[in-house]
Amino acid sequence: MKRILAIATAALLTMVAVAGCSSSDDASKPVKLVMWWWGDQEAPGAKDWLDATVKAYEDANPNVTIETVLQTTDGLIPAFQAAAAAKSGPDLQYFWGGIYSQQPGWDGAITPISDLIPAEELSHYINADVELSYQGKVWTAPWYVNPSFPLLVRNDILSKYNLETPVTWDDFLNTCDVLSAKGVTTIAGGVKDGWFGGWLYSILGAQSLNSQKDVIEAVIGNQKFTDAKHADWWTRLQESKDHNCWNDDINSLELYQAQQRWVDGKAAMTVVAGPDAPNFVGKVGADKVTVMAMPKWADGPNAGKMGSTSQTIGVTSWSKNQAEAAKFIMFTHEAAQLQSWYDMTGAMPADDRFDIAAVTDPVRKNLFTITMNGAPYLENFIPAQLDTDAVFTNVQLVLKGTITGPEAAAAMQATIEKLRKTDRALVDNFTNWGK
Amino acid sequence: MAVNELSLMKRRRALALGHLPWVLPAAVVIVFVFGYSVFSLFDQSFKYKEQWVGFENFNLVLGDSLFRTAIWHNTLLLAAVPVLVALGTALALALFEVRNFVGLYRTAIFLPYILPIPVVGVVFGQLLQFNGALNSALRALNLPGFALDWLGDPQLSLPTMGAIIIWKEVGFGAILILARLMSLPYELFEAARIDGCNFWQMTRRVTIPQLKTVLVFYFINEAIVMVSWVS
Repeated sequence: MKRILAIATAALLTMVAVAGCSSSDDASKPVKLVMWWWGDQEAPGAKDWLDATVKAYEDANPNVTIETVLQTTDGLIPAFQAAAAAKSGPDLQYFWGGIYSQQPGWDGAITPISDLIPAEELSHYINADVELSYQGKVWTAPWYVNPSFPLLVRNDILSKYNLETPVTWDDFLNTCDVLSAKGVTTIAGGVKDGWFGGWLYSILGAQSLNSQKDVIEAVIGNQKFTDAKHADWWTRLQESKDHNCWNDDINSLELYQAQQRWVDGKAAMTVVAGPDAPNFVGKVGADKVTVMAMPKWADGPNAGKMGSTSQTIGVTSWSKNQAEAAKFIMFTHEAAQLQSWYDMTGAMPADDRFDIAAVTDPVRKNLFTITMNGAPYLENFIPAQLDTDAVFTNVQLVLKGTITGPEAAAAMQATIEKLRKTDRALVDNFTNWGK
Repeated sequence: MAVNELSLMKRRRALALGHLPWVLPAAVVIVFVFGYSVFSLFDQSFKYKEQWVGFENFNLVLGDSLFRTAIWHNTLLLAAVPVLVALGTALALALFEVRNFVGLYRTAIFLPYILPIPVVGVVFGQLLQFNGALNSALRALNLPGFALDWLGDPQLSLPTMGAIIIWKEVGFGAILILARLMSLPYELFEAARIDGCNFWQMTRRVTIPQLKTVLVFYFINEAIVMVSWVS
């Protein structure tokens, strides 16, 4: 009996030793992560930060190598859709917030990050609940915050014409009247590629809504995009056209081309990506610029507020190294990485453990503080196809004078009715999202 | 006679079978690559998330105003193909008659064809802005009424795009047709001249009929190009 016990004990010890060895083998097993990302375009310095962060992670975890692939703006979504269809591609994927993170989750292309990162850790990630949660799960991990979108006002140009910074919509239209009479562009924009149309929808359209749930209700058909609270912003947009607020070539320019006019002193205002705002302010001089939300035209709880959205990283459902991918995401949220992100990009990391009080730059501090109390970023709560087919195109048409604001609202309603038919899962997905 | 016919049939069959080893591999590849794609396309078009939905997908697409607009825009662009063929032919005829700086003219006409599409897009995107180089020049020439929003105006953007495609593609047609013209027997034109044909008669009765195969090829090729530009 003793002999049997001794053999059994020896066998058990051997098994434990082998298990220990295999655990040690797992830790040293080579792991390669591939990350497709975007963001240097709106947060210059992001590439240098990511390179440095990847190196720091690889140094700390010698068995892990991470390959990063920077995507173009136009290629970001199609490239991932192709990868998702083939169930082959990156382990880590960059997503914009809201619908851009929800849809891949609904399609089964990503594993909820809440399955991979502890809830306590995730609770620090800014906007995870508002934009990225679905039936108790969180799809992707916020990376950095995008204040959406600041209006940059050149006080030097306004004061030249005895004008004050406009606070209300009427002030804004009056500014347009005065400046256009003098041959000066009030606000520089470009809608040739459409994207700025989505920005305008968000910064104007949010003002008359109670919350993002209104938009979701309109998407599923419980409200209409022709209802006053959804449609009035189109009329405001038309007013801005009628008062010659915009540069006359807005339809033939891309936004970045128009933003340069503001830098060159040829326009009094422009709208820029939040993370890039301090860089624009730096080009002109902080003493000459006011950073603010779009002037108020409505009395909704979000009027006068800037939107807040987080750009995110998700782990793909086909990745064989999901745990390691999640570990890397958590590494990017450690204090040293949060600080180096701010130091290298000037943008706000999406983590409430980042100490805003320690930010000394007044422009950034103001921007970050506004963002912490931000409004939902509307464009992220509608189907992407509604954005491109209704918002992008109808903003172009309204600013060209081809259609009126109410006609644009009717076209948006017609588009969502069509989408409800073509995408049979849309209503269910949005209904569950809105709960 | 019957024996001869039988022998002929056997020979034909043997010839046909003799081709098989050469044709079969290619046929298998073509059938697999294209056949599978076509089958898959039709199979999927009757399903939604692997559930059979009959003709519902077709009804949705055909009832979609955006789809109809896309078809209409493609049709309008296809209408530019005859213009392209006519222009290419005219340029080829002109180049055929030119005696000085022949190389220079040919290079100038063919050059746009070798430019990559993204380069053309960027260059014309800048040139045709509302306040771009073209409109600035028109305004400088005191022609502000012609300074239009070529790319930003929905009424103008499609014709503008058609014109850009014609500019890029016409050089290919001109050189293609010119090469055919240069290979035509000189005696043919000489005979026509002796018979009293003037330039237009010669072009209509002799040159164009001789160019028929090249023109048909160019027409089909450019129809495909037109559609692929907007796909």
